[in-house]
Amino acid sequence: MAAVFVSAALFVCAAASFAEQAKVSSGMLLSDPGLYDGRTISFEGEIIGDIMKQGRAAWINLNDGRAAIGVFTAADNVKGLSGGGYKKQGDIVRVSGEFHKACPQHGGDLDIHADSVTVIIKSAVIEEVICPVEKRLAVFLAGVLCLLSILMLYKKLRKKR
Amino acid sequence: MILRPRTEDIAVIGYHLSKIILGLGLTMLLPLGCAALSGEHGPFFDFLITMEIIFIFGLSMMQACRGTYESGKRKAPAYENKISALDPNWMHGMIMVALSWLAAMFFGAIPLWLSGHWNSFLDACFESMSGFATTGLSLAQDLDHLSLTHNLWRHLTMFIGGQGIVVVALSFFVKGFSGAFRMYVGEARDERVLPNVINTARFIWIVSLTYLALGTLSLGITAMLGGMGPVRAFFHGACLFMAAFDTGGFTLQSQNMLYYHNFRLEIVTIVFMVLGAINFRLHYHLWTGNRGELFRNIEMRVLFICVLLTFAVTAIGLKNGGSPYSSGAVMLFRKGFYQLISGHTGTGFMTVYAEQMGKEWSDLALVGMICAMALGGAVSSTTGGIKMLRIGIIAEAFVQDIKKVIFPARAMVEQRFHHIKEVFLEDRTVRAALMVTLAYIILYGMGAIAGMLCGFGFLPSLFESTSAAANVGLSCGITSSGMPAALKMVYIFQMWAGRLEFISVFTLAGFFLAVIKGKR
Repeated sequence: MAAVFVSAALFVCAAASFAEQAKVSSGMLLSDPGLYDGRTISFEGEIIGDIMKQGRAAWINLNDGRAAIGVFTAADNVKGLSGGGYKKQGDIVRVSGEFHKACPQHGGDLDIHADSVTVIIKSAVIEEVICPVEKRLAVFLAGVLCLLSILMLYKKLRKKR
Repeated sequence: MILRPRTEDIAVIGYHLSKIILGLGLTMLLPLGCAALSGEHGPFFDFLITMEIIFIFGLSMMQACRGTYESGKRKAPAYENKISALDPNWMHGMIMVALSWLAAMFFGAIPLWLSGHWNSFLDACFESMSGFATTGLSLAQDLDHLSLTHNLWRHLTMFIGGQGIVVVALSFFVKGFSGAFRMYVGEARDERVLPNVINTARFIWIVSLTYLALGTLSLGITAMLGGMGPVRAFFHGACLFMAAFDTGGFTLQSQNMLYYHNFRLEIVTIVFMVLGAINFRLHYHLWTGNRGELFRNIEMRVLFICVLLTFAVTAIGLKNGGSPYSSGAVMLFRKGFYQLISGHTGTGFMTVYAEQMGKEWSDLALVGMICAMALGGAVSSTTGGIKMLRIGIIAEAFVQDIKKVIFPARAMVEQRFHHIKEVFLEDRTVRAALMVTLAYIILYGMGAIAGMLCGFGFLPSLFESTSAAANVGLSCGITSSGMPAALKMVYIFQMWAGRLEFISVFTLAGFFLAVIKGKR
């Protein structure tokens, strides 16, 4: 009987801790920020752009495909990480920390103060693929432009004579 | 009886329009160079193809129109000055301006569409018009992975459009001719900084390029202090300057100004936003040492009063709505005042998400923002909206009418205001100010009705419509790639008409009517 009670208590605690650290998307945070304000959440996304170190702290911005959210964390947590851009996918990470609808420390910014940053997928270079039709079109148009320029020059020279 | 335009009219318009189009093509050398230097091969081909299309179209059009232009010159009566017989008149100038903006939108959209980051050519046209009209509403997909080249082009469109496409042409590609002033006026610049309109156009560029250097330096350093690397900091600095000074509002990342989490950067952008919202004539006086003009000028006084009043309304709205931004001075400044000054100057930088503004800001706060956007900045600046000079003139007219009632019947009531010099208030000045104000209000209302017809609420529709027509760029969430195509076209029209302040748009409409219904 005691074992049942202990197991039930452990289960309730586990469930509570999972509920406390809800995994959320940017859509959920932006559509109802009040619901998550002050709560510890888990958020996953690609680091985009710059990793902005400010002394012992750092800012990163995580984009989960719908919107990007600012994450404030210790500079040590972002060592070796890089952000994505053109032809590059940044590190895809999971952060866990307190969400603020209007952070009093950061002038009212909507942000996450992350205690941990875990890499899920490492950054990678995206191969740039140029459509062959575009290359051929560029060459064709260059030919047309040259022809037009020659015609105009010929007309101008003929007029001078 | 409406007279149908002659072939020579179309030739004059087409000839000068082709020069402007070719000039636009030349401006694409900058992003082409950027693509070559940064190794972005896809964007390189996007801009190469676009330039080729522009030059083929422009040269063909120039040749076709020149033939008619020159045959018209030969036919011109001997007693007429042969050049002036076919120089643009007011109608030609206005139509050229209206068409050049549409041409810029169309050709400017091509490289954007080729990038694959816009869902349709209409979306790319929307982005292109938003850039040239210095609005800042964006339909870009996955902006965080857009190439530096395409981002540079987006910001260049604001730099070119903010100064004026015709101003670019007058400065660099067009030799002086009598039609120059008519084109200049058609682009909603009816004030000359210097006696000669070509010199005025060049002065505007000198000011802009000087501020570009200062702005890139100050914003770049501030971004570096915020933790960015030096190369990216200065690239961002240059683009942020173009967006701030030209009161455009595009940014390089999807979070807009929230990306930087940098209070100092926000302060510096406020300085350049306000500079961009000031009349270029006032810049000339500031540059030549006449700083007193800043305090005497009616536009600056009205701007100060309007900013105070609209901020008061917005701040009270945030407080009454229970917004957390009203809980402290710093938050109120960074979220409330920043959005307000961004809207009033017509920039459109945001330090809140569009969804937050639409859902969390109270109706009163949104009304404060709508009023700020609707009013705008100074005439002959990079900003949009009704403009401070017109508000000042209307206010002075009210004061004059009240005086006429109060003072004895035989008293002569003269009202004056200071705008660079002392100006007597005349009925035709008041009439002109009222007509344009009314046109803007109708445009704002028209866009609001279009938004409501598409299923959006009244206040969000009015907010978005005012943002588009006053070329601001703040959004409360309506502007997205998923919005109806008809609404995109309405906003494109609003951005175009609002930027050109109606006269050239109406002239173009009249021209087409004359082509269809006119008689010879």
